Amino acid sequence: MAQRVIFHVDANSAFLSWSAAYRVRVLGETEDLRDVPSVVAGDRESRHSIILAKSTPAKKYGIQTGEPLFQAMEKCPTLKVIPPDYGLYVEASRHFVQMLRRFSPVVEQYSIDEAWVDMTGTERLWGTPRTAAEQIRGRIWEELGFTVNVGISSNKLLAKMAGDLEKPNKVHSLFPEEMAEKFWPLPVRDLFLVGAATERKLRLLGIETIGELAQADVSILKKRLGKHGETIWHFANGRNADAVNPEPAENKGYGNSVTTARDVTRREEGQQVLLSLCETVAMRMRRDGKCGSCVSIHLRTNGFEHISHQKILHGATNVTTELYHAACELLDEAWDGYTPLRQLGVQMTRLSQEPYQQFDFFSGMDPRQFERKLRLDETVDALRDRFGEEAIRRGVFAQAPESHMAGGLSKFRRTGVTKPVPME
Amino acid sequence: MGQTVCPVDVICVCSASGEIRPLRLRMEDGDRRLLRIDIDEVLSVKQVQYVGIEAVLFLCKAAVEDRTWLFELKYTIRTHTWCFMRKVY
Repeated sequence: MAQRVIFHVDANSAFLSWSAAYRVRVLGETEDLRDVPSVVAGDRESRHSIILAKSTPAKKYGIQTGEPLFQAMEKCPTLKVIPPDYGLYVEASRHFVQMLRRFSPVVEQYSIDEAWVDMTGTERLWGTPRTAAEQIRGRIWEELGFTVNVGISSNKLLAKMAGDLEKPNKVHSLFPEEMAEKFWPLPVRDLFLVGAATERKLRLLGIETIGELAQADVSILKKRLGKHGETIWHFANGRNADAVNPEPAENKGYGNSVTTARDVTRREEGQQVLLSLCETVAMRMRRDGKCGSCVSIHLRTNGFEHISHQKILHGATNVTTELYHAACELLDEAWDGYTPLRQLGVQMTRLSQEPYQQFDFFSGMDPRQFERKLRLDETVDALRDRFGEEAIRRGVFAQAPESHMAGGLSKFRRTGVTKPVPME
Repeated sequence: MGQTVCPVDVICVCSASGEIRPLRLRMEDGDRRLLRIDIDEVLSVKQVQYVGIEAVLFLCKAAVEDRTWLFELKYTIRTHTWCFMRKVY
């Protein structure tokens, strides 16, 4: 079989360059945010303001995506801060993917701002991979007004790594024969699916670069890191057989988190926040007809320390109260009850889609009672679908200033921001 | 005047085949006087979709106070708004 040709196309600091392109090309402003230190960040008044995207000049000040806004302002007091415009980003993303589909029908959108394109067999149409990539880059710039990085390789992983080699507005190739020169000298942290925790473990094994990981003994990696060790070992060797899949992958879990307006210091407050999160998580699961049996919560203290805890339920469920009770148990186990919390999250994994419910002897759950809870939830969902989320709320939220359905995005920007945007 | 981008009121023809042609626009000049401009000729029409926002750019010619103006008008499809983009001369 001929060698596959896969492109990874990634919009450079997407939110920022979309906002910048909008201001320059649509509103006709003369200052281009991409040329000055600027960031896209949430509302300064609420505590949600973290850096969502930064310009290349802002990067030179050491500003990082995800850090709090005040910290970034300390690094660069003249920083220009603009609010996010989710409607614009969804539109830009949709056209970005449409543009890619003009080059090849096999496009897999990985997130709002990046996608893989299978360009195998398009040489007689678009020329060599590099020529085709330059055309994609050029047309996106001309027609949509923002820059992208294109990574070219023979599989998805190497294409993604190639796209990250040097930014912005570049085309890079990383075929297996180029690995020793371009890929292996990189620090291991740059590898796809290697985060801070894995990096730490690898460092203990004396592995600093991707090349060292590639040459490591896979049995040791497996022993230390489990299955993930083997996966990243294959990745380090540039092996990845995944096909470019135009259908979006199914959710592996459902979760929501919220940064509260003020720190949570009491158990009741914490439980209330968890309940509002459980409402949204369980509602999304019911909408997709999914049940989950592993509940996890994560907490972030005011000192930015991260705590997480999980438990397996006796049976799979998507009933709000079931999820809530499990989350409360986890909260009591994981939290001392007084350390101030600024962020709480609930997640449900181990999904299943069975039309039946498995009960067990030990949990003491009465099937009829379960049935009633399920029907109640369905009714509440139907009411909210028809009359809006404010139509019905639990009594505990009657006087509460916080939203009774927390997490995720506010209503008007709820679709397609973290997930790929559904095509019309 | 008229160098900056500003929203304007426009009278236009929407033809049976779906084409749009601006006829007249109304905008304020630098002294905040209301200016009515009859468009004599549309020289070019271009579809753009910067950042995914579909719009149509019209390059228009008109006589304004004994001078000929060449300027760009933009119609944003989603919002149904017209903008005076720039005056070429």
